[in-house]
Amino acid sequence: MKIEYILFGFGILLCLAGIGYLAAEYVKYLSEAGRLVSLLLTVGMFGFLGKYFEELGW
Amino acid sequence: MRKNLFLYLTLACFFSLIVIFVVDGYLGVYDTLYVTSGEREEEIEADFWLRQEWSWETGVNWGENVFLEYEVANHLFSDYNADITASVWRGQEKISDLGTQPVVIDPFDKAEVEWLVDSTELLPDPPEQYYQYSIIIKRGEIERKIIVNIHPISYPPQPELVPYR
Repeated sequence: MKIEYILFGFGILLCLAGIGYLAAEYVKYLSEAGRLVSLLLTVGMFGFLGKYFEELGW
Repeated sequence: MRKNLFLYLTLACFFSLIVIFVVDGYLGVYDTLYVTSGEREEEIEADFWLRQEWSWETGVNWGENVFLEYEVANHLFSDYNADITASVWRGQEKISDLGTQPVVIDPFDKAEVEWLVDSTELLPDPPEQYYQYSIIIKRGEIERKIIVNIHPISYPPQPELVPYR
């Protein structure tokens, strides 16, 4: 059971690393305004995700 | 209900990010350069200039031409106006102007400008070693640099025929 959670965590970390790498590569093609809005949306996304987990009782 | 609201807001932020990446990545003015030297055509796309590389290098044998086709794509909702200038440089010295062409590009349209560089005009006599020239294309504040290596003719000259006696 525990090994499954470790593998899930490893997979999630790989996904996040891949998405982060793609975003870092692609952000070069965005305008300054686009980068700013993307940053705000990223902050908002993680903020709301944190609130969601907080409501779940994590 | 409240926790679902946070989940929906998270998803909304995520999909907004995807939309911004796609739309803002597409919008803009992009240039593509086609360089034909000898029998080889090279396509230099806009993202090449966004990376660390700042110049493209190509080569041609003396006596051959370098053909340049510069394509500007306007992915904006307004017209795009610019003067496109090309010139040949060696070191800090300008050798020749290839010409200036003003372009007016409609929204979501493209325009092309062409130039021909004759290696015999740059080097009238056959060289014994290779020479480097820079072709600099300017579009407003944006500058693209192509380094052209002109190689000497590699094969030996034909011997003169001696009449048979």
